[in-house]
Amino acid sequence: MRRLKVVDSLSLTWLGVLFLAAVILPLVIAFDTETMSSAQRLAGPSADYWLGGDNYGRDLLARALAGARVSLGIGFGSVAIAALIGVPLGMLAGYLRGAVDAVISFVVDVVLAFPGLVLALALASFLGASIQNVMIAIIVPMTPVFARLAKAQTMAVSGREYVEASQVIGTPTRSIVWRDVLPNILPPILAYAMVNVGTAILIEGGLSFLGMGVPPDQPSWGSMINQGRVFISEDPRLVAVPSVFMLLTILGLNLLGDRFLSGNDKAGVR
Amino acid sequence: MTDPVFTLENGYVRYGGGHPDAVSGVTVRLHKGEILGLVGESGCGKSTTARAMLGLVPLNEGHLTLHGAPVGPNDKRLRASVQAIFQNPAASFNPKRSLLDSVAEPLRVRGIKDRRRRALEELDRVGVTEAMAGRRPYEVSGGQAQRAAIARATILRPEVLVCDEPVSALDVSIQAQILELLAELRTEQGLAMLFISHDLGVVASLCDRTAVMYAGKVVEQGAAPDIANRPRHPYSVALQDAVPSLDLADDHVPRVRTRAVTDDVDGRTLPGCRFSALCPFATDECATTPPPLDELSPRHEVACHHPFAPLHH
Amino acid sequence: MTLLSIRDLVVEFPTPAGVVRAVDHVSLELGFGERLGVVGESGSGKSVLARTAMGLTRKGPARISGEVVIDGRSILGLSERGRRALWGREVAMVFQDPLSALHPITPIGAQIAEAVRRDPSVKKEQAAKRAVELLEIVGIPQAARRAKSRAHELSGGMRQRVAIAMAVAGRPKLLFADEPTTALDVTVQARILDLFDELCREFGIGIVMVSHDLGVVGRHTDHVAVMYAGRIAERGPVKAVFARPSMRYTSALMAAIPSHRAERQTLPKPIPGSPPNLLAPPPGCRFAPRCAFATDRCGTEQPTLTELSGGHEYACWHPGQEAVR
Ligand SMILES: Nc1ncnc2c1ncn2[C@@H]1O[C@H](COP(=O)(O)OP(=O)(O)OP(=O)(O)O)[C@@H](O)[C@H]1O
Ligand SMILES: Nc1ncnc2c1ncn2[C@@H]1O[C@H](COP(=O)(O)OP(=O)(O)OP(=O)(O)O)[C@@H](O)[C@H]1O
Ligand code: SF4
Ligand SMILES: [Mg+2]
Ligand SMILES: [Mg+2]
Repeated sequence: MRRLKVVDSLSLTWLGVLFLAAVILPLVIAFDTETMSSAQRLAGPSADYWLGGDNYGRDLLARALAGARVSLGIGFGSVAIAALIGVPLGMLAGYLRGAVDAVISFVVDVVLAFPGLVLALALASFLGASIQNVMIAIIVPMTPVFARLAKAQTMAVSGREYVEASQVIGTPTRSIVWRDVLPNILPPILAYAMVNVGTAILIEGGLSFLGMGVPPDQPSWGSMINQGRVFISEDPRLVAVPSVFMLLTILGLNLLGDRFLSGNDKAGVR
Repeated sequence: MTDPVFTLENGYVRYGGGHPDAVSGVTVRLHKGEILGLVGESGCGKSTTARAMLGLVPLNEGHLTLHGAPVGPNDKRLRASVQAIFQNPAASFNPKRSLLDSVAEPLRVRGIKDRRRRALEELDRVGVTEAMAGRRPYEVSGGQAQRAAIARATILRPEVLVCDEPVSALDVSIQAQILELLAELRTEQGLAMLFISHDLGVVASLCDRTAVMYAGKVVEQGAAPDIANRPRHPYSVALQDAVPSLDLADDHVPRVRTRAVTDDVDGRTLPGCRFSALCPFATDECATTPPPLDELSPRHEVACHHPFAPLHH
Repeated sequence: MTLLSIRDLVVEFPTPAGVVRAVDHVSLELGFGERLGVVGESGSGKSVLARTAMGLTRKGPARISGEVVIDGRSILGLSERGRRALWGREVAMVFQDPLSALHPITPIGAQIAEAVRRDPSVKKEQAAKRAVELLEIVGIPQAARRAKSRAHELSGGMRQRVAIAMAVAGRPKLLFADEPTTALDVTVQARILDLFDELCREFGIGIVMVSHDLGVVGRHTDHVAVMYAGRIAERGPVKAVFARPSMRYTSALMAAIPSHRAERQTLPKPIPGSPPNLLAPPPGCRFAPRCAFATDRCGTEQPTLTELSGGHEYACWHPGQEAVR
């Protein structure tokens, strides 16, 4: 095992703590994200409210953590779905080539002809604001990107001698794709997926900020920024807290993704 | 002469993209207990011939036969009887799996039991210890990986082995070990082999017969010592001349000097003999009529209008 | 006059698993217009030796001691800038893979002209003319037209010629060639090697050629150094060494080479075992574990170079031409 650099451990620590606090902790103790206390309205950090209160006097930290659950859920969830659809399609296109490839690549090209963010915006505004619709708006433009990456990787790997060796042995195609191709294309795809979780969180934030994403009654980082921006001159904390959470999370995911890719380059590709 | 075990009859392979045929009208016949060497310059179509025989590229014309009966490229009998060894030993194994796993794979595919023991036995036979067997392909030396590749190819007791430059990536000392192993397979298991190499010394010392390819066609074929010492096609002569001999007392002058050409000519596009642009003996006939592969003497075939004979030139 | 003199060179690479001594007390000499072949198994240190002698091995990852003198100038003490000034003008290198040495987009003529212009007194127009001349010298047909081609438009043999033209553009005195023909087929290889011979004869360039092909070295060099596990196993005039290989590794190596003029199938004799692990090399003679003639002494005591005849030296306790008992 190679030594992790300081930034990698920092990224890991942040994501780990966030995961524990936002996903595991609520299973043990209930966060109070809704009680409005007029005393805490726009109040600064205190022993009770570590990051202070928002414009309704709700606990800002509790809301940021609840927002983390929504944002991370949307981020990981939509990327997982996009990858689960896109990667198999890309592998089919890359391994079988021919007509299968032509059809899949055509669809991929059509979807990718629209800029991703514009497509997400259009879908979100058409479908209406809900968590499920935000995910659809993220998944649709992201799936073909995974398909394209998987296709390129599959084509590279399936030209390798060990795939030909398996063919000669008589290994069925299903088995070649599963045992020879998939494990060898997975590292770059995972790295890319990690970076894309960051992108998904960013898109979710953007949509929610514009009021087209997560409805305001459910806290997400985007919707919190959206609500806080009215008070930006009075108390920038309302925008700063969810923004910093989002920034650190996306940065951490990107750094780890890069690291994962370069670490795997050394060992795997020989 | 016994009937061949496995043949490629008059095979043509076109990769498309407007390129001329990579292989045009090649016939290769492999006999039990015999190794056929295949030599020729880079890009002449040796690997393509091997890949066509393994069913890895489709034939545009021609067909394969196994014991005289035609077989398709995806036929189960082909997979069971014809196995392969490739040039780059480490790259011919999945980097995520141990050598043992990969060697046992042919058994797994066919649902054969007792895989681990049989794979270890086969590996032991080619000189790979149990400790080595558990390693990944990039964790062992090239020689060890190539031994494992041989074990994988022979574990199902095939009749035919197609070897595409199996020793090119190895050091001479290790190369000699692998050649010994292949020679053993020929005599002990009666394997028929196609052995591709660019090293004429290796071919002369291992093979029974040699075929010389030029620009997608077989131009000469015969007993290995004859091709090594008494080649008749001008290209074969030029090829033998070019080998730097280790015997420093052997001070021969080149017998055939190819013509200096002003530009790259693709022999594949010439209407007559494909070597005619470079051949010092070429006549008008050579430029217009492709020479057929004719038997000059028993079991020595040459495709040339003016075969080289040391006394006449 | 000596052109290249290597004295007691040691090159070590500290790695997490231990120190790899890739070159172990090597001394060699080469005169003007002479050709030296360096042969040996993969990992025996041939490339590291050549690269270090050229000043290409970086001091950071490597520990270097000993001395390398090219035409009276000590190389190892030079600064990065000092070495750069030398490359191309005094020494040049031809690599195994010419594509890596050529720029993918710049036309080859322009690349050679650039190399010519490392001599500041040469004008631009002159350089372009000289580039075409160089292409003619290395035997590229229609040189003026070809000068406009890019590397990927050329065949492997032509690329290697271009790489050679570039290497000799600055009129170096010494040329290192690391497996210059390994990627080429024999007919093309023969032409490249003839070209090297010509450069030596006509311009008095000294050539150090690294190769694993004994035939190539036997035919196209004057002196040979056989390396095993970082050390010189045997060296001397190539004819003498090949006629009477004495260190048992050299003998075994020669016996492992198949003859292309065999009248009967005669398999070459393999060398048993595999090359030593440089992290923990055998204490005595490095070849002892694989040698058919090794005695207890071989396992404990390092043999030193002993002269057999005019410049022919070997390092072996039980010298002889046989490889197997
Ligand atoms: N996948 C491919 N697609 C298109 N052309 C190809 C492909 N593979 C090979 N070719 C072309 O087919 C011809 C024959 O190639 P092949 O690999 O069979 O030659 P070879 O004799 O094995 O050469 P080498 O000695 O370099 O391995 C060459 O001109 C080559 O460029
Ligand atoms: N930068 C490096 N760091 C660590 N070890 C190195 C480094 N460069 C070379 N070595 C080691 O030094 C030894 C000699 O390597 P070298 O490349 O000189 O071998 P070679 O004789 O040229 O082999 P080949 O015929 O395969 O080219 C090898 O064991 C190699 O692993
Ligand atoms: S047929 Fe003619 S051109 Fe072809 S090799 Fe023979 S003599 Fe040369
Ligand atoms: Mg090939
Ligand atoms: Mg080297």
